[in-house]
Amino acid sequence: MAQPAGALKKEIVATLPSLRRFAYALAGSRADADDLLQTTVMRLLEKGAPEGADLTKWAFRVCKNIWIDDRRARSVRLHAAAAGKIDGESAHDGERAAIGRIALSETERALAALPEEQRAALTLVAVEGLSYAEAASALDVPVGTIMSRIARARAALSDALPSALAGAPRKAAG
Amino acid sequence: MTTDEELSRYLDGELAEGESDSVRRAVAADPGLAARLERLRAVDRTFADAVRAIDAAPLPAAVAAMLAEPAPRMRPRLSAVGWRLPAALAATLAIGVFGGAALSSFNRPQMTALAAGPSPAGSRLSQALDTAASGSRLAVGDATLHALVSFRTSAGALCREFRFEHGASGAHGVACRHEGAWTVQVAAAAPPESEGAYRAASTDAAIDAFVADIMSGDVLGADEERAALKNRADGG
Repeated sequence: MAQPAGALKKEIVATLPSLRRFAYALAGSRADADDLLQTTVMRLLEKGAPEGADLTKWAFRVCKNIWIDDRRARSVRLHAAAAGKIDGESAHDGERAAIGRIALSETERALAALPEEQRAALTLVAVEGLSYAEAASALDVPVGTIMSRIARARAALSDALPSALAGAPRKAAG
Repeated sequence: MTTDEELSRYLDGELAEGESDSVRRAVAADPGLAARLERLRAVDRTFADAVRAIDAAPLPAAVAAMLAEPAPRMRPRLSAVGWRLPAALAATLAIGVFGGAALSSFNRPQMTALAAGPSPAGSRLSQALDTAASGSRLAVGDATLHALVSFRTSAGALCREFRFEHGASGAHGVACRHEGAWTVQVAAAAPPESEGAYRAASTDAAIDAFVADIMSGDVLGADEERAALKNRADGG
């Protein structure tokens, strides 16, 4: 880490929105996501990224590891979260507003019901645009695992989300 | 037979070219499959919207503070470290001890009793304070000024937190500009930073407390600082 603190900070700032979304996908609630984000940023500032590493991808990895390390401490809250919802609020607007409040809370329920590793994989690929190989490296799992997590996540969400979403059939034709 | 997993990989551009073509053909030939693909796309959009919901929430203050320019303000607590500057260093700093001229808004007896005072306009310290961008180091004679942050007081005065190093001795302090002249508000002897490390001195917590006390708003960003420094009349 021969990187000056100022440059490192700029890189972290640039990657912050992606990192925060990833933390949110892992943690499932905004409060936990922001706690996780804070710990991750602190760790990145202390230790930086290895020479030549892409900071964004490295940050996902650090974030995921912190989340897993903290698992025991969080187990009580996790059980509460599993029984409840991903988060109280929604900040959707515009395009998707037509779905309405009821559908939004269904969305939140559907997300909360998804295993966190599936949410994490789907976020990296479908929201952040990583390839399966990049996501596999960030999450420390084989590419095949990413592939199946994403397919399962989409299928589960398709089953759980309101059909009005796209008016399409819920099962694959084939 | 096209499965959900194939459609999923197709959506993600993770199929080999031949596979991708055959999915495309299958989708074109089968309305049910096309609808399923559309459904999975809609699921992705809904998921992305849900995850992006956090974008609109204000960033936690602790995270914003850690990433504020130019340096993380994570420092050890104050321990019993002498507040007096070594005489030689005070001379280098060209500041008086127990100097007056403190702005009324900084009139904090317990702080002004430290090594503080006006820095003659045109002195090397004044010039350095006028020009060094926060985060940078500037040679002042054979000493070094390390500008840490710039901020304003509630009265609008421009202030800078800095470290000053001269050989084995160093200081950590705050100076504010009034009518074009810098006055060191507070300064304490602090061992020079080790190379590249931002947190070293145990006096930091006290200086931090002083800064937190007089600072109004946030630390200045690089552009704001540049503009403020250039305007010599600026600062109360």
